[in-house]
Amino acid sequence: MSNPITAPAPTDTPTRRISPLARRLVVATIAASTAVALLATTFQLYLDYRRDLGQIEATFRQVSQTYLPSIANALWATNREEVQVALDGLKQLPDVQYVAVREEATLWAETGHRAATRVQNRDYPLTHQFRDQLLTIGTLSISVNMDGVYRRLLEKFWVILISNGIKTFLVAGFMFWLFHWVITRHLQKIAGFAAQLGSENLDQTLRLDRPKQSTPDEFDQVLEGFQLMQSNLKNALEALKLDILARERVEEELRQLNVHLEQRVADRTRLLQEQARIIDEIHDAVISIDMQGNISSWNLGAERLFAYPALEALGRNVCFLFPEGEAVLDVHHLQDEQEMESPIQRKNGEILYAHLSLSALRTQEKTLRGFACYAIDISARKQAQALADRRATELEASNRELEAFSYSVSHDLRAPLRSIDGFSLALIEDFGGQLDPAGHEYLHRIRRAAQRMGLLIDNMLRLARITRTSMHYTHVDMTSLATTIAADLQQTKILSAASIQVQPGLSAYGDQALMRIVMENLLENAIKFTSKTSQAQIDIGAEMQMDRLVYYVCDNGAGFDMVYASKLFGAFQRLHREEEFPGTGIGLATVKRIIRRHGGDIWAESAVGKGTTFFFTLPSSQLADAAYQYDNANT
Amino acid sequence: MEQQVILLVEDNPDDEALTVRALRKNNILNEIVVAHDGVEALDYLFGTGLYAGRDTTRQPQVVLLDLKMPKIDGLEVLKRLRADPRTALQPVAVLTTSNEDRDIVSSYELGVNSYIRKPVDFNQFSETVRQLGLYWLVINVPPPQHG
Repeated sequence: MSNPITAPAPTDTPTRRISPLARRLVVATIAASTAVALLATTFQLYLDYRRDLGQIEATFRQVSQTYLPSIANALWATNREEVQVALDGLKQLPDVQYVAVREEATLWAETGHRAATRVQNRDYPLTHQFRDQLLTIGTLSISVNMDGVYRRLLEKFWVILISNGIKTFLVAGFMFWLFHWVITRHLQKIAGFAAQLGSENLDQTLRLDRPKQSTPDEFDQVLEGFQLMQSNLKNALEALKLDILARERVEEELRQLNVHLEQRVADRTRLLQEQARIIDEIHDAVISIDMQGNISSWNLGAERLFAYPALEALGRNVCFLFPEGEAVLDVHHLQDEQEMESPIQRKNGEILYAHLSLSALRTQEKTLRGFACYAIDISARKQAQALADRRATELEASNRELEAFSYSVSHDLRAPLRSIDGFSLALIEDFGGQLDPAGHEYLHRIRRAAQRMGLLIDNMLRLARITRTSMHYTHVDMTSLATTIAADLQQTKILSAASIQVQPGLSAYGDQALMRIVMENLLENAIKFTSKTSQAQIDIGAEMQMDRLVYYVCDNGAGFDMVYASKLFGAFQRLHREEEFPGTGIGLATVKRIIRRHGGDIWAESAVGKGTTFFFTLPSSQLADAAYQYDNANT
Repeated sequence: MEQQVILLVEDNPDDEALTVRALRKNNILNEIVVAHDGVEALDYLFGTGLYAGRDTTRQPQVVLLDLKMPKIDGLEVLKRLRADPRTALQPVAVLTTSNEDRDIVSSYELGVNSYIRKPVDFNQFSETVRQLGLYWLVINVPPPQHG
């Protein structure tokens, strides 16, 4: 997951200063309005000045029109008083500071005082019509003071300046406030909002502190724009996140692939090095030959096996490695993969026997370029094989002899017994009258002995045969096997007093015929040893003991002393006298041999007078199969 | 009805005597021809050697054949009997001491009609012979004789 995208911390200067935009606006407004006010004032002052000048001109005009004739007449009449009155009247006119009448250079009358500066002087000639002659009789001088004009101008200037200044400042202040209220505070808020906008608060809505506008204005457009931007941003962010995730995944995969690849390269390199090392250091010889049969590679194993150093072997035709230089490895007649055994000749002339594994070497275009040959010294194995073969032959011979022996025993040993028994009986039948009871008894003993020997021979042959017959593994229904045998035995032996219980569902994996012999012997045994027990009870079943299925045949018969347990399964070993319980001592030996041949175990637990339990195990079907393979391979 | 012959092929004189005794004791009074080895048996059956000129259209009701014999053993005799059309159908019961599987299997493979093992106990042997005689001489229907 990527980090959320955060806005940079807003720099505080722009927002902390109070509306620089508004201030700039105000400054600009003030500057502009001041400039305009100044221009307007100047223009107005100019107009006022012109008007004042006009008034002065009007005064002059009034003088020339109204006062000049009367003053000229008074002067003509030399009426000084009248002139003085007229001058005083003139003096009353606005701004007139000084009025004088001169006759030639002689001051005739004056009023007011002359000022040197800021006056406007005007001289009017005083004329008089005398007989068609216009005579200039004097000069009227008037000085109009300009101070009033200038003072008024100055006053006006100040009034306009101050009132305009105040007005401008008021307007500017109002504008500043208005601009701030209507625009810049929102701008600041927008800026703040924009500044704090990050990936985790894109859902926030920008709201401005202002009444709802009846018609959307630019701010609404901005808000709308913001929302659109936020939603676009959000989408873009989601897409970006997905993109980042995908990229991270891809990067991770790529990284792992890289790691894997590096690992593989490393492994491969190691493998190649290892292989090269193995090929070089392997005990066995690895050589290669080209299409001419010349040796093109020669490892240390080859040096050891053939006793030629690489320098002496490389490039030579491979024939020299074989006795008589025989062309054993004819490149043109070899198959792609071929195994062979051949004598080889070492440098010192010693002949060894080697197993050669040949593999075709091909170019990338699949054309044959030679063969790799892996050679193993099998001299020892050959010798061992020869020895084993000889032993197997001997064993076979001895087995054959044994078989012939038992075949002969089967035929020849029993025949005399039959004669002994048969003729003893014939003697009893034909000449019984001539024999006393002791004679009869002896003949019976002879017969019993002969019959017992016949039984012994039979059992012995059977025991011998157990190891010779081949085994055929099947799933044996032990329950039905035991039940059948029990029924048979109870019919043939007269010892049917025992109650025989067979656990249902018993099965085993083994040779059916041999399993039958096992059950026959064990049951026969149990029946035999319970023959003197009242309420004889025989149980056949199986139970799990230490993770393995253990079959048991349990009786409550005579039992035996566990001290002799070791003799129990020995051939011809008996724990009871013949008179007590008849037997040959071969049955349990046979059973043990069968169980052992199956790869199982057999043992017994017993107590004198309490009964005996025989336990035996058989390997699982898989183990049994493996044992069977082994058994078959070795017989 | 003419008495049918029993051919007993047995090299052991004790066994011969005991077999004959068992037969007689069980009231089997048929003529018993004894061949003491395989050669004699074949001579009898094919009318050669000792038995040259014997009417070979009349064959024994049953041949009681021992297996282990000098010269030609029982299995060889059986083989030759089955190979010859005159005796191919001859009822033959192996009566032997052996209970080796290979003897039993070979005998049946060669077409024996019955395989009986001689018990050591003469009482049992006698009973076996009684049943044998009863079966082969009375119960069993032999193949039709030639001629």
